[in-house]
Order: sequence, then structure tokens, then C-alpha cells
Amino acid sequence: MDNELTALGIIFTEFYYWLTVVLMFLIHVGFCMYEVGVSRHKNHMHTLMKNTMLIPLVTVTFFYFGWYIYFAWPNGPGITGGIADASNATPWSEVMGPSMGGQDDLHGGWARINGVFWAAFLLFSWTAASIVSGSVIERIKSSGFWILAVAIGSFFWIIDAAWGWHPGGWMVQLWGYHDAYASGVIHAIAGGFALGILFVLGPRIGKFAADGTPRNINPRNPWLVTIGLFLIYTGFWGFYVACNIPMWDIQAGDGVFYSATNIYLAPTTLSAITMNFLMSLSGGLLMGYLISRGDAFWTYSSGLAGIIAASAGNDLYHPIQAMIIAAAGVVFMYKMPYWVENKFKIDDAVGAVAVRGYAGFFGVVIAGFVLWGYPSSPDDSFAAINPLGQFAGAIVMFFVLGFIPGWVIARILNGVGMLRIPREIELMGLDAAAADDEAADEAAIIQAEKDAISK
Amino acid sequence: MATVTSWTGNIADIGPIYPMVGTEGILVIIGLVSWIVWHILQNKMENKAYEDQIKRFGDAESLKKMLDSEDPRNP
Repeated sequence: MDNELTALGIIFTEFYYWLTVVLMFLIHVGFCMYEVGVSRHKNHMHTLMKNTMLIPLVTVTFFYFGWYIYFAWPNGPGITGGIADASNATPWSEVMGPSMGGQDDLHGGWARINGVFWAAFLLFSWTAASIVSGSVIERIKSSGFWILAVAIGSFFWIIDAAWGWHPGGWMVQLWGYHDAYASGVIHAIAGGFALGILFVLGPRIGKFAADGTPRNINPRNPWLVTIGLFLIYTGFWGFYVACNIPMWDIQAGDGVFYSATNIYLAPTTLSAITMNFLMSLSGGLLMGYLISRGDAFWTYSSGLAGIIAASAGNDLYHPIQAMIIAAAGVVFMYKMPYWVENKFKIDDAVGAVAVRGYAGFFGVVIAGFVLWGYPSSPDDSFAAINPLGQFAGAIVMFFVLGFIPGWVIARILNGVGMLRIPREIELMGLDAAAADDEAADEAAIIQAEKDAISK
Repeated sequence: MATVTSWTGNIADIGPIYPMVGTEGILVIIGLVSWIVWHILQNKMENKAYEDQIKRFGDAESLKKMLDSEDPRNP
């Protein structure tokens, strides 16, 4: 960085991603509050710890192998090429630690950007794992869940990112796959993964009546749920901004033209995604309120589902298109879970499969029609965006990398007794011993205070 | 031990600045092993906690009492 302009560009980019990480942290605060608010009193602490501890576990494993997968596997490997050079992302790379970059041109820039870019992707990883966390509360073993969290957070989602959310990903190249703000790449895959687990895990005791009718297990603290969902909305701003490259020369051939780009290095603007974020949030909330007849839980969730449904194309949609797509996505999202719940007796405690999975799937597919013919990449040799490519991409996200791995790993964990808590524990509550110990402590203090009166 | 002993000179020549450059491979092995060991210890700890909890409160009478205390219609 031997001149001010280069330094400004690099240090601005470094700061830009750092800021997105701070904002995205709020997603996780929101998830913790939301899950605890939904769970029953007897399970609060375990529910909180189950979600909290995925943070360090996904973080360390994303350092060990997740980041490498993103750079090494955009070709499959074996579909459009072999394993790509990922020397900046191996856990033993010198630029995975504090570095000034040295004289190496590639590492000169990456030494500054690698850590913050890694962290931005890591926060997506936490989100993927946390989406799954909410749906399985009150009956999954923490040991089993944390293995599943590492699988989705540091392995499967980052494979789909390498394939369909990378400037050179084979799905982008061959199918014209376009998913700018991760309808499928984060949300459909996490929803599918959760559904696969839920099939094996089974419902909470009492969720279904003897005749198969589902019962409501209502949120215990609606205010915590409300604040949690608002925090997820807030963190989603960071998520959107982290999906962009802030400054990139997009001029092909001679000349220079700097712009923000999406992850595929195709031009967009922060203004565009800001308007579309808000309009799709609004479309989701408006439709969610109507369709759920003012139910607060579903209205809030519909705001989120609306954003997710429009996210695949929110770099290019007109704001009113984003709003309409969001509203349509919410109808799909709202109707599907009742059918799946009744048909397969699925107990998704927070509606994650619907809000994330179905809305994400819808978002990927609808973008294929609305953006039909747009270039998927600045590289003209890549396929253009098209409905078939998007539909195939949605299948890869939800089923191939989501549902199937979730189901298979859950079956293995179930086979070795690491998936579901014992029946007695579920009945008494995961926090029973801690609650009893706390009551004994409290009683001892009260007795000591009473003794003090007589002295 | 120190990778950098002076900030004078040509900064552009400086690469990694953490201590013990060259031991990254060993650090990764330590990290991977400690990650696996953590899961093993946690799994044992969790199973033990459930066993203890069932011993304390797992009989039908205690479970009924606990569920009664959760019922909001109970005074």
C-alpha cells in the first residue's frame, strides 16, 4: 500500500466487512432471545446454551476447514474443473493470522481482507446453524445438535456457497444460478437440513393428539420473541451488505468504472438493496398480517420470510416487484407448513422450515422467471439466469445439500443414542436439576435471613 | 521467538507478524484434536447429567408433581 488511494480502497473494504460482522452479531442475539422466548420455562437455560455454544464450535471448524472449502471447491470439484487454489484459506496459511502481506501481490491485499471476509462468511455460518437450532428445541441432545451445527455451518452450506454463490461457481457457470442475498444458499439449505432432522427426531411429547391433530405449544415469552425477531431484522442489514463487494472495477475491456457488486461481481448499488430490503420486509409483513389474521408470531415471521423470498433477486428487482414477490412468498410459506405438519407429523418449534426453507426455495425459483435472460455473471460465457437453472438450484439447496445430509446425519446420531434426550428428561424439563439446586440455594439464604431476625 | 524485532526498515517486506511463524501446521493439529476431544468430553458430561437427573426426579410421582406445577390452571 504505497499510495493513499490504494490504501483507502483496501482499508475501506476491510472496515466495511468488519462493520457487517458487528451488525450480523445481532442476528445471533436475536436467535437466542427468540428461542428462549419460544421454549417453556423448564427448558430455558439448555435452550440458550444449545444455541450459544454453536458459536465457538462453528467458528473453530470454519477456521479449520470451512473457509478452505469455499475457495477450493467452486468447480465441484470434478464438474467444471479440479480443486482450485485456496492458499489464502488453508488454516496453516500465513494470511490466516496477523500479517502485513509482504511482497506477495496476492497476499498483499488478502492480508488485510482475509480475516474480515472470513468473519463475514462465518456469521452466515452461525446463521445457518442457528436456523436449525430453533426448530429442534426441547428434545434434542446438545451433543447431537452441535455435531449437526458443525455439519451445516462449516461444511454443507459452504459447499453450496462454493457452487452457487461464488463468482466461478459451477452452478453459476453452467445453470446461470443467481441468488444474490442467499434465499437458497443460506435459508433453503438450512430449512431443508432442519426438516431432515425433524423427520428423525420426532415431535415433542404432547404436540400431536392421539388422532394426529397438532396442538399449539405457544411461546412462553412473546416480548422476548418480539425483540428477538426485531434483532434478526436488524442483523439482516449487515447480512445484505456483507453479500456485496463494496468497490470493484466492473468495466470490461478498456476503461475503469468502480461500483458495488453482488457476490458474482455483477454491478448493483447499496441504494438498490436498501430499498428492496425494506419493500420486501413490508410486503411480507402486510401479507403476513392478513393471512394470519393479525397473529403476532406469524406476522413477524412473515416479515422475515418476505425478505428471504425476494433475496435471490433483490440486487435487480424494482422495489414494488420485491414487495409483490415477498407477499407471494409469504402465502406459500404460510400454507406449506400446515400441510407438512399434518401429513408427516413434523414439530418445527419456530417455523424455521417454513420461514427459511420454503420461502427460500420459493425465492430462488421465482427469480428464474422474473430475471429470465439477465447475465448471471460479468463473464459472458456463463449461462444466463433462467427458470430451469433456478429450479434445479433450489433442489440442490433444499434437498441435496440440506434435507438429505440432515436426515442421514440425524439417523446416524439416533443410531448411537446421541439425538434425542431421554423421555423422563423431556417430561421433567432439561433444567430440572438446576432449578431444584437454585431453589435449595434460595431456601438456604431465606433460612439464614430468618435466623438473623432472632439474633 | 519474536517474528518482528523492529518496525523500522521497509514495511512492505514484512509478512506475518505473529510469534513462531512456521509452526502453523502443529497449531492446526492441536486445534483439530482439541475440537474432537471437546465433543467427547461434552457428550460424556451430558449423559452423566441426564443419568443423575433421572435418579433424582425420574420416578412417576416426582414427574407428576413437576408437571402439575407447570399447569397454569393449578392454584
